[in-house]
Amino acid sequence: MQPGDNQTRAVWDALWTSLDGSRYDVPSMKTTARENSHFVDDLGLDSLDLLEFYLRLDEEFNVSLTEDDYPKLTSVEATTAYLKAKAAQQ
Amino acid sequence: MSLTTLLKVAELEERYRKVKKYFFLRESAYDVTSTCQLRCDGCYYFEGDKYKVKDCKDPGAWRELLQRERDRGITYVNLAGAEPSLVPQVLRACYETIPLGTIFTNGLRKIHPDIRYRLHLSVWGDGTGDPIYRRYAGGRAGPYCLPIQLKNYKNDDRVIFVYTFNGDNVEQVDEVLKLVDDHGHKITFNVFSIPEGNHSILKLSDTLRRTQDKMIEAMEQYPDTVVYSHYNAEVHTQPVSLRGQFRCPYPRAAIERSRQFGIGASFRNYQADLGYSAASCCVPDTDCTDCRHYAAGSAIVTARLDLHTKSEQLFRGWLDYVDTYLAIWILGYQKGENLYSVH
Repeated sequence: MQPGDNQTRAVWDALWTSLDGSRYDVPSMKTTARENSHFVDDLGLDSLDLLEFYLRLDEEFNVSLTEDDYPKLTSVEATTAYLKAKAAQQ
Repeated sequence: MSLTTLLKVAELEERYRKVKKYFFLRESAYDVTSTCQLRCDGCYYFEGDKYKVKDCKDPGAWRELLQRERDRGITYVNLAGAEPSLVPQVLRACYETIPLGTIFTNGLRKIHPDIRYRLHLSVWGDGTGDPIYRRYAGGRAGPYCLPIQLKNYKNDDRVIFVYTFNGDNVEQVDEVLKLVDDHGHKITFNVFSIPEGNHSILKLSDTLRRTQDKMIEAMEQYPDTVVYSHYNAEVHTQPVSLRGQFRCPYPRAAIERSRQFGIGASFRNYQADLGYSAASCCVPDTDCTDCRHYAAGSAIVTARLDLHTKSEQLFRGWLDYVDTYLAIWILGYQKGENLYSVH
């Protein structure tokens, strides 16, 4: 279930694209993942998968996320909120 | 450049997909014993206090520890020590619990063939250097380990030899390469990284460039035997340490920056008494400003995908590095052609 506004949907899209070709059962994850699902604790994602995801966010949202930002991007909900706050600052 | 743009290059996309299947590897390290037959010059294990522990020799306790580690998400174990081959029952308990991993051994004692971990056999020099750098625990000159290793591990596909370049042995690699090649084995390279407060004569300084040249020469002379890449050779022989080039993701460094992401949040280095320190790294007590260690690089360089998407050349280097890393650490993984070209 991935409801939400356009920005949230774009974050979901970036996430699923990042997991393409990885070991995860993405179709199953799509049915169980929630906006507040923790990327590591709930979805079991690994750091390199997350790095790809962050790089895709860079492109999609035209931002420049750094390694200091990564620990804050813990779920789709947290990521969307962080990106919105970052956009508001610019 | 963006990752999307880079992945439009067919050979890069193909290699990325190949290595991406292994992004699930999540490692920790375990010193399974504090005993070793040897005392090597500059050995990080016998620096600090970590060898002054009471060893847990109970395989059941190790099995329980690894079950908890597996539950914590650890998928890959590095079994080190002192000398892991001296505790075969512990190795078996670990293997039966988490089946992916590497054992770091001096190769003087054979590890049972049923334990299908990758085996990293350390080589410190040729017949003149090895007995000097590696003495027996009592202080007398050590054995030339390589002939014993080759005899113990004849035709053993688990093995990869790891030649540690130091400030004194660059040319000695010639004899080692020939012997390893003659026996149909593979070899990769490490660079001596000095422990904190240690003043070993083996420290590299003005031999870094020569070491890099020698690594590349070896790759060209023995392409089917040497498991390495030009990018590995470059980053491991810079005047600046790995941490200086890429920052370091291990907890020991991440804690300083309150930045715990990826391996910085999950990695632990357990001691032989099953305890661990929060400030762990794979080569504790190594001076971070001199760290060029191959095991450290396996996390430090691979973790920085973000730094390697700035140009196609850098991305090629990263892909080679990860491909090399997997060939060194995963039993059966086949390394592809190097994609990174030398300037």
